[in-house]
Amino acid sequence: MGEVRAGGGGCCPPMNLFRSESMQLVQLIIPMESAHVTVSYLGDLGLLQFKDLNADKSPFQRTYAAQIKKSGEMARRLRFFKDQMLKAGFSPKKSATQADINIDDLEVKLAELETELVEINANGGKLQRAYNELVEYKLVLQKASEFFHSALNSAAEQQSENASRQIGEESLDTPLLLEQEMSTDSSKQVKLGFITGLVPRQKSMAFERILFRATRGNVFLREAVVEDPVTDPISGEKVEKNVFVVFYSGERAKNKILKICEAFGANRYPFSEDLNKQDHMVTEVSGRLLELKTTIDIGLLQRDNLLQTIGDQFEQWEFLVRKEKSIYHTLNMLSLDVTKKCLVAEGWSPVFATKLIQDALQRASFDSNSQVGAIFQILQTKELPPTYFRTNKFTSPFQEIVDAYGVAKYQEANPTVYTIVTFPFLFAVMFGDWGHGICLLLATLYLIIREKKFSSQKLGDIMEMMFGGRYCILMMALFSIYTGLIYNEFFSVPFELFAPSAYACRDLSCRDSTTMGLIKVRDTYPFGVDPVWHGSRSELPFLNSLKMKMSILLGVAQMNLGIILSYCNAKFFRNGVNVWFQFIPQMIFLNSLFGYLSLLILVKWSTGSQADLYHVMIYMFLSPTDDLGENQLFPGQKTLQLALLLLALVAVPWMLIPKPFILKKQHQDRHRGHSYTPLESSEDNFQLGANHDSHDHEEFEFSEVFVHQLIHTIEFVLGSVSNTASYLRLWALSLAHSELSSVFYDKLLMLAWGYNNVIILIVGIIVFICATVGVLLVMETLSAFLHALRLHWVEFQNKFYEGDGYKFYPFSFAWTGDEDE
Amino acid sequence: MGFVLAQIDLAFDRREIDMGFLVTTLIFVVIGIIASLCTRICCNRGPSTNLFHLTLVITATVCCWMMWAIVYLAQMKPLIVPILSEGE
Repeated sequence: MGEVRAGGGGCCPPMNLFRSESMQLVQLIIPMESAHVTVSYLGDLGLLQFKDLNADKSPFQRTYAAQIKKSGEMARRLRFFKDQMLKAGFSPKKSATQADINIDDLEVKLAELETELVEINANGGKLQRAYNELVEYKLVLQKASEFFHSALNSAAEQQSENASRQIGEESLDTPLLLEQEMSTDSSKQVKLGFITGLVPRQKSMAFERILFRATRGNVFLREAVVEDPVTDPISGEKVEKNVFVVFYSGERAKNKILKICEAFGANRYPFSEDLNKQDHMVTEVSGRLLELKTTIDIGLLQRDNLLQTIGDQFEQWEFLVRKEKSIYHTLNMLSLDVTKKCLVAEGWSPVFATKLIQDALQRASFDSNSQVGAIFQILQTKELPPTYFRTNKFTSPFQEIVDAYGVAKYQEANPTVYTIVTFPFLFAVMFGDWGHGICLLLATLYLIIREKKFSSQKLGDIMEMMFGGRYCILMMALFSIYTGLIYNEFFSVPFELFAPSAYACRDLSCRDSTTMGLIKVRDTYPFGVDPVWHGSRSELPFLNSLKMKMSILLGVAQMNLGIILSYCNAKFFRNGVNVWFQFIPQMIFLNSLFGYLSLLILVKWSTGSQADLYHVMIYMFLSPTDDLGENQLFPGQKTLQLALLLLALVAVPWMLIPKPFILKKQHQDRHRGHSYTPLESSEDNFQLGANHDSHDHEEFEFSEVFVHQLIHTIEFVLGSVSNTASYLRLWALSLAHSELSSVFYDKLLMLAWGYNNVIILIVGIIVFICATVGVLLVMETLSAFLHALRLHWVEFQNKFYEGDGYKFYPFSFAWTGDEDE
Repeated sequence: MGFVLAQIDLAFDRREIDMGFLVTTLIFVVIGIIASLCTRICCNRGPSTNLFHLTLVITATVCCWMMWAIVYLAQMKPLIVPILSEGE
């Protein structure tokens, strides 16, 4: 059956992109020893999508689980290097030299490099920690010595004061008791212990409170703020800290304080009261700091050198590891032959790639010195092949627009062929202004000219999207310029480019030009809208009528194209039922209603009749037998209308009823016939026995088919009304665009011009440019783009496009590049 | 699109044929033919690609022609005329 489809019904000669590539299911039998090379070559070729033949096995049960684990480990090492390089501020460079490196050597090398780097890092970390500790220690020494110094000074002062007081005899108002106590105190001199250290500033309040409570207030805490944040030796982060000194008495209090310090992450440092010792410590610490600093610098330099050498080859290694990993992943999808000497692969490939694949297989078996070559054979299958379109940089954005709605069924008519033109065209109908079109063209030409540069570098999300769709935007810009010329708008200003205006005043005095209007004196303006309409009082009524009718005409034309494509599909798949009971009644229904409306519009325009088309259309349904009166456009109109109405009414049951019955009959015939025909080739059946069975004994649910047809019919009948109405968005958006641009022109540029002041003019111009770029070129482009997208997805494609296929993802190394990003 | 073409033909059979319309239509046809010849000569890459290019050119020409024809027809026998605003 795959073959039959590939051959296709000849409705039209083959056209690029119109049908997806014909595919085949191929089977490869690869000798074990050349499997790796073969898969690698096939990946270079990138035209074969492997099927997973071990879907029931878990990743650990598969043949090459160990190798995958190994390459996973290598990938982890590379990620580690990348992290380190990022931290150190290196970026991996693209190496021009492609040194040939074996994957096994690479593994050893990576492991060596990793241990080296880890060692350097560990040493560096240790040194850094020691350094930070010393820095903290130095701070404690400074702050605490300041504190002790001031405390000593004040104590000395007090003592001297006390002494002087005692000498100078008691005055009457000094309390006797206190003085005695103080003097006894100084004589007793209880030895107080103390602890110094650093505590994070955020926790210092809590720290103080807890200390106070734990020791029932028998503690004296002094804190000094360290101005600059300090690097914490343990966490390595910059933290704001306070230096503290706690005085306590007794061993129990000391233990409690030590525990609290630990809980608060307060680092303690020894400190001696002795001034000489203090000085000694400070100098020692400073000296060691210097020493450590130089050691750390040397370590850093060594690490940088190492990272530099890694960075030089990083890209290459990474590519190699990724390639290796994907090769083993693919190898895991192959099933092992019974003899365990061969691997069996199955996969989809385009028919045109047969020769290339065979070549690759041959080269692989030659290069791996295998005694037996790989076997290539084509399998017969009923499975639906994947969809593969060969697109280029011009057609791919349009194909993506279509794919975003749904991937085409295998060999279904591809709307992209028409979308390439109709999408930018409908966009331009809504975006018609050749000034704006030129702006868009310049922007996209910039992208296209610098294509080489942009494609090699990484762009932002939005920029990436713009760049990917640059040719789509180019087409949009070109058509915008064209429709802009038709609408005769250049930033909303009309020009008499092609001929003088067809209208002139009725007489020389031109008195009634503002009441009665002008009169047509020449031939119709040859190209586009007559410039005289711009700014006139009857501009809007005229443009509205024109654009509304244009929307309907374009819409009916595009929907007809959609239905014709459904005919191409039916012909291609040799589906006569769809031609007779879907395509023909649909054509009749749409055209007897909206085709007729289009005809009326054209007749009205070419005859200049005053007939009211709404009235004609409405009364065609309400009272088709009534006389048309003054709304008659041509003789015999009533008969034609009656005939069309009858045709439309007949078309509905025509669409609905026969098809399900015919399908049922076909199914029964096929079933009956099948049971009598002998098996064509036993080999075929043997190969895909399971597949065959499931397909042929498929139940035919009549009610389901009928309901499906009912839905389809209702959708089409209602859809033809609502879809035609939906095309009126072309009118609405183009009106909005031209009104907005004329408002910006009149109210910003002309108003500013009117002031005769240079500054106001410049401000006006700047605001005008901003408004034009921001609102018209960005917002309006987006909205027109979205509406054109909708018209294609819904109104055009629902006439013929199934879009339930799946994409062809060949195994290729070109894709592994941005796999994990 | 062929359908619309037929409709327009029908409209012309009844009334006198506007020369301007015919001439410009002819110009469109000529441009379309020249463009398809150009694509044929410039990038001749096998029959199926050529057909693809031809389809593109024809679709583009028909779209442009339709747009022009609609605007031209709408102005041929105007029911309303431009009425200048008071300011001018």
